[in-house]
Amino acid sequence: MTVRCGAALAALLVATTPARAHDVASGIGGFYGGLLHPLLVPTHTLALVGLGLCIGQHVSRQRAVLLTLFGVSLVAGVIMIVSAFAVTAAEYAILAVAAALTAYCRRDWQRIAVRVAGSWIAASAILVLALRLAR
Amino acid sequence: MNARRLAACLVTVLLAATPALAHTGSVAGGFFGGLAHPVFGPDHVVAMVAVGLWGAFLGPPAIWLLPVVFPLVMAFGGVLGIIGVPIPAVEAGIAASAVVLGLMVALKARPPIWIAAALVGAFAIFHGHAHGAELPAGADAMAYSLGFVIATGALHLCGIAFGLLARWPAGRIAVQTAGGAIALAGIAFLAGLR
Repeated sequence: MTVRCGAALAALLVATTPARAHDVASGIGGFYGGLLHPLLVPTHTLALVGLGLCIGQHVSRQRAVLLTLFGVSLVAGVIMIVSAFAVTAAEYAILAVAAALTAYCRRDWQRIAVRVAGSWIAASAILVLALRLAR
Repeated sequence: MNARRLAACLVTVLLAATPALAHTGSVAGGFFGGLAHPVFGPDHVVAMVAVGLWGAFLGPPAIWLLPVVFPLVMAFGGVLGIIGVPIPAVEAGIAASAVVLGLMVALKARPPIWIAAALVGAFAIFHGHAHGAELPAGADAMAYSLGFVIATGALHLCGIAFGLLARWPAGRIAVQTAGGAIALAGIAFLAGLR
């Protein structure tokens, strides 16, 4: 299973193409444009929130490892800001908020809220995919 | 500046105003368009509230399972609507969902959870199809979808909140009465279609 997952991930990585991100707010390009991109483009935000929620749900089981990885990723994000890859910084901020919210969901209703949020994100994403493919 | 001058200025400014002629395709416009869509369809509203009521009435896990299943299957119905796959009698299906789900609440029906989920899921396809087929061409897709999924979820939450009254004997009567009212509304929608 792990090998298959690895192969699928590798295939996805190989298939990626440059994002060629558009300016989200006219007149704001470069560093600040990149910083705003994940926050102002709903598809981008939603994917990251979904990923953050997913990570957060698993934190209780593998808390130490995931939190360490998260810390390392944040440091890497900061380094990338310095390197002017600003998009990463905002991505990590969104991910961190979503994951932190989920990680501290201990009560039943909070866990339910995470699942409901996940189903809303999935439903919206399915519709957007259909719209993009249909138009 | 005295009050009269101020009023004159205000009137002048108001007279000089022109229509906003808002452009379509904006994120905010798409979001609020999506948010408004289920709320302004009374047949959608009563069915969504009925899902929440029934979930609360059945208790865990239905209380969260039904509102999680509904948007996912609704999205599938939405995809069918967007790509133009015809589903016969969509409006009748939506009205029937209000009748059946309302009756389930009114009659205190307690089927196995998978039957409840399948029933809610089947009706969700009709609701999703209607939303997908009526989606405005200029709307920002992501914002519109998110808006109408959130509006749907909020209506479920309204139903759940009211359905929680079923913990008390008097509340149970109120919830069952609400279910009966939803079923009657569904019958009225069905009658109105003919």
